Amino acid sequence: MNDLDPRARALIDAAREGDDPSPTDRERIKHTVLLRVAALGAAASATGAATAGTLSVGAKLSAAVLVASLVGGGTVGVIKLRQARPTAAPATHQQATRTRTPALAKTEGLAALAPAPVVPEMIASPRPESRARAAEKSRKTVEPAPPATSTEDQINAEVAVLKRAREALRLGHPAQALRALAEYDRLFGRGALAEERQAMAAIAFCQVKPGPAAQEQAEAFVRSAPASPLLERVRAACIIPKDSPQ
Amino acid sequence: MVASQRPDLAPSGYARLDFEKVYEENLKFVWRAARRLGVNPADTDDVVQEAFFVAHRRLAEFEGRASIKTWLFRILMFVIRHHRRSHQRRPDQRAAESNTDLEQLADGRARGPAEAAERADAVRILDRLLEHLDSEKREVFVLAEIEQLSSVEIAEVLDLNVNTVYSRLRVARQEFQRALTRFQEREMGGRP
Repeated sequence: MNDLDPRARALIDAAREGDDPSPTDRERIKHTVLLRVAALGAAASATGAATAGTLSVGAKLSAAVLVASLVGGGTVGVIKLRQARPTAAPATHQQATRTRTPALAKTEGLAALAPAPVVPEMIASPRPESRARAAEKSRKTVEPAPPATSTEDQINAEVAVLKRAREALRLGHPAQALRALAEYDRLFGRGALAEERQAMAAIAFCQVKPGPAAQEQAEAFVRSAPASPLLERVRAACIIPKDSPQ
Repeated sequence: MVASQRPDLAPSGYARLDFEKVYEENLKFVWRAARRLGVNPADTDDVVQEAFFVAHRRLAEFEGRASIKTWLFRILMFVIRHHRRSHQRRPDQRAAESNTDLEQLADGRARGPAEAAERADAVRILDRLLEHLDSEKREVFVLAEIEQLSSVEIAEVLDLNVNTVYSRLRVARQEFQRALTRFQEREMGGRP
């Protein structure tokens, strides 16, 4: 087989060690993966409880769940993951309609929006039929009927939309970020990652049209989420002094 | 109990649920492979994170028939292909991000500024040359020449037969070599 010449080898050798993750990268990615795993497990447990009828309508998930913040170019933060509106036993039709989030009602549409987590079936699942049967069986045994998509799918769909907003902000397109956030509102209402959404909206507003209205929105975020890891980013984007009243 | 006596150990020596060990030992090459396979710097975090997230969820199913590195590569390849389909980017964005990457590279991770600059330059040139390969040849080339997997391992990672791997690698090397020659001629020609 034709081999590479020494110049090519030297280039590859030099480049091989030139692009390693920094210790910060290493910690950030690990932290984020573990938080995603934790969030997924906790959200799944909460959904199980809700579908079993152990949560009343409108009840909030009291246990805070750690989840990685996708805002801010990979900054790892800790935020509360809200229960995406428990679906157990709505009292009225109106309530039932409200508790079924738009995201849950649009499974097919969200499929394209929710690439993560990617589960490589070619690697992990040699028996898709049996998985499908198991899923079907599971659907039949849980009453009331679970939502049209899993909690995992919904969280990933939310993450996907917020990632687009984040990317737009990173590239200096706040108006585009606001459009993505409007889409988030339309799809998820006050979803599990609403706090991140609110922070990004504040930052985007401050970039699009700095002024009293944007400042007010940022201050509202500071007041509503004083412990948010995104606080400093919002303050910095909107120039809110740290000693401002919360 | 020593590790080798534990019943939950895969043959490769990894405890099935010992994610942190897998992560610490393999992050570097997963990260590097993602970059060399064309994931732009702004998306590297997401792709690497996704690959390890999948690995975490599937670690219990790892049976040790392949090496953990091969197994992770398969996951990474899947994630990257999925990422490519769902993140078609404009070239000007990629160029902007590439510049950012170079700035990041020169952040003093290496032993000194001169070495950092030299390595950053090598990375930049390598990435430019790799862009001359189509994705099929690039995958084989990166796995063989940069990550130094054997042809059998590459065949396993990419679901190819070994002859196809040999064939693609041969052509990829030729194309890479030609691109390097052209690059050097341009560089030399451009000098006063």
